Amino acid sequence: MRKKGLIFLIIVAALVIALNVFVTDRWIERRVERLASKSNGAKVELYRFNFSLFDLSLSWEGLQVTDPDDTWTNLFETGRCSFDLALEPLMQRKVVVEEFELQGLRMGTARETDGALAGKSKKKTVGQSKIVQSIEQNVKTEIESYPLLNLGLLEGTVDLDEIWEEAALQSPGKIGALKEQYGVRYDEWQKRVGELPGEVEAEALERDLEAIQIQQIETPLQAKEAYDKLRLIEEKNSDYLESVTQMRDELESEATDIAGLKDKIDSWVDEDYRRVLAMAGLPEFSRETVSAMIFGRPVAEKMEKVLRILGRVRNYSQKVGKYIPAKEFPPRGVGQDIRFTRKQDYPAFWIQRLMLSGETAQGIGIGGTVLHLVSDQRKIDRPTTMQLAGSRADGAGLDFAAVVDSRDDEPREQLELSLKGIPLEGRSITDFPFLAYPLSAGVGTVTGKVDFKGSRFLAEIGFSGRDVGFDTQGKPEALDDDLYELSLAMVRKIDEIDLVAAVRQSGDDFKLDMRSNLDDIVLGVLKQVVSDEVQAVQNELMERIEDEIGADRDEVESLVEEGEGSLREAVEDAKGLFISQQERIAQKRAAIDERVKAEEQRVKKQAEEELQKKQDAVKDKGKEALDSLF
Amino acid sequence: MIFLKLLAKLLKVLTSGEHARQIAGGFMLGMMIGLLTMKTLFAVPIVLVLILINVNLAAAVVGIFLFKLIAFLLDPLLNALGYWILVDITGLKGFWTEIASMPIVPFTRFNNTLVMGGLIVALVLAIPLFWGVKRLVIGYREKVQEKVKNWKIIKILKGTALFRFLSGVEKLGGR
Repeated sequence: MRKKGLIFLIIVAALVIALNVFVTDRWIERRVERLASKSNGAKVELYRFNFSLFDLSLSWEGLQVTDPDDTWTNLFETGRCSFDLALEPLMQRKVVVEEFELQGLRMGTARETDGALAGKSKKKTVGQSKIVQSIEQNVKTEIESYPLLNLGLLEGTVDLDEIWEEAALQSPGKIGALKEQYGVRYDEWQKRVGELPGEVEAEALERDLEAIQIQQIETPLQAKEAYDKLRLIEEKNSDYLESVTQMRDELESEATDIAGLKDKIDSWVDEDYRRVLAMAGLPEFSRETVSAMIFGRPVAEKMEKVLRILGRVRNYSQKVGKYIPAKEFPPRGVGQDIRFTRKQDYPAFWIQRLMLSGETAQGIGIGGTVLHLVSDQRKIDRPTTMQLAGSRADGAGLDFAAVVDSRDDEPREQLELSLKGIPLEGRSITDFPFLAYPLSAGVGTVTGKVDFKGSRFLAEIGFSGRDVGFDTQGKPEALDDDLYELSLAMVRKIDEIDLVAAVRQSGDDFKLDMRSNLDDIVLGVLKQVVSDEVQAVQNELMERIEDEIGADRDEVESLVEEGEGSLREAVEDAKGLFISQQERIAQKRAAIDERVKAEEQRVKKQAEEELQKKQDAVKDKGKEALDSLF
Repeated sequence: MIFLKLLAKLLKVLTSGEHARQIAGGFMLGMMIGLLTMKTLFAVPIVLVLILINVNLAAAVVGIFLFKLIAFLLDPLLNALGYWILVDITGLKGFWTEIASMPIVPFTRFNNTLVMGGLIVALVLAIPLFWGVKRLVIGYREKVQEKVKNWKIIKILKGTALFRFLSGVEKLGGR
């Protein structure tokens, strides 16, 4: 044992203890900040972090979590917090907190400095789940297809040529591509049909069949040989017939596919038509389109925000749910961590009960509880739940409940939100030109419900406004005097607003529905004023579209008809050849049967005669013997 | 330059008056530290042993330096070996799960592919390396040492600051 080594170790231990007392807190603070920032995608900052090794307690005086989508705003910040870590799990490198109290929570506060992360780290944030991305994309596409009302239509100043110039139809390109695609398919089919057995094979079979000389069959061995040859010919013919029949069936199913081309072209033309109408602000006035015009965009924006949060939750829960890690190629000197934990073990991170109180960005004082904030729910077999409630001095109140359950292979997130008694004065409810006035009075209620299980998504948003009044003092710039009058007539009829919007996605099926009590009011006025004009413009646009794609459509249809006809004919001819060959084989078999039967009878008769002769000879010899004895 | 430093260290170790087994022991422990990343708890007992028992520290420094370089070069292979042991050998999953639930053990980061790969290679090499280095030192002292002393480069190296530093390290060993 080295004495110097021992002394060295004692010095090192003393240094470690000293560093623990003076430096550890700052070191841990930086490390926590760095890790949390990386996972948030924007800065997370702690103030006056304190960690006590002796009683395993943690505390901080302040915490700021930057909104990754707006790095000059905090998602939330907190005041002083303190909590104790459980010792036993900590020995297993697990962080378990029984009770965590978060006071002075404030949401959406402005930051004094930019909370963006520098360069590389930002890319390592928790991304979106693919399903959520698809829902988001569907909502976006749906909203983009919503028409904006062309006010020129109401003012009688619609320029059809201008609209047509900007139309950029997509069907001609698609039909052209379809034509090429069909050409390639037709060539392939022609090649396949050309490779089918045909006249050459049928003639070869015919020769083989004629080679069987029935008249030469005299012995059972020769009969057997004839039958064997016939069987081989029959098998070959069956094979040929089967491949031709199979080809015919495939061609039938291809024909059904090709028949769908016409419908496809029709749907492309329809899409173009609707797109041109939407682009030109010439919607077909129905309750759906009017509702979409009034509330489509605001609803979509809200939905996008909810989906962004859900996407992160889902992506995270899917990541931690994976047990067997895929092989990674980490940078040198880093390695890959493999998780080994038993079901009943502590999860890596678990706050059993989080009590929070604070204020939302809208100034509503909130308080509530989050239960089981955990890195892996399967280990504790409980979902994460959240209950929040709050109110504001003006009577506005909030209730929020959430359940995030990722214990099964099919994760589920459920959210319910209710905002009541919101004063509507000074707010706008839509950017629709006829109703784009600030509200002068009214009280509103917003409800939201989301149920997202596996890939099935259902969200319902409701808004109701009571005793609503519009501040119509300022005339919107977009409206001329006549339209302003028209819009005043509309808003005078409105003292209540009821809106229900629902988004559903199941697999590839997506649907966004919207209904409001304003639909009929707006629709009535619009129909009354612009219906005939819109109809005329719509008809004209449809005619132009038909003129543009008519020739291409006819060409595709005639190509399909001719191509299909010639293929069918070739296959049917081949089939006919082998069916007639089949008949010939049957005839040959019957002839052989007959010959064999005749030969059998001949041989039988011959045998009987021989036998008779031998019997007679025996009789004669017997008689002669008896005569000689007696 | 790196090559010269390594050569100087190596010669200093070989010409020191220590027992061959002390040099081999130091080199072996250095190899273990070199192959294992310092972020694992496995490294702590090895460093303690290195400090507390009479092994040659200069040999350990050479071992650390050499095997850090080897570990860097063989990183993908060590990673693949660690992954194979931790994931592909499914029969061991229960064992890993069991020890992952024990106190302190998770701090060894045994579940890291690089740590596990390095640990296995270090354990496999330990005995053969100890024995091999011991034989090598004895052989060197008996047959080569006198010839090497007369090399020009050796005379130059003996005058360098590094050589003097390594002499200091040797004295820290308590001999």
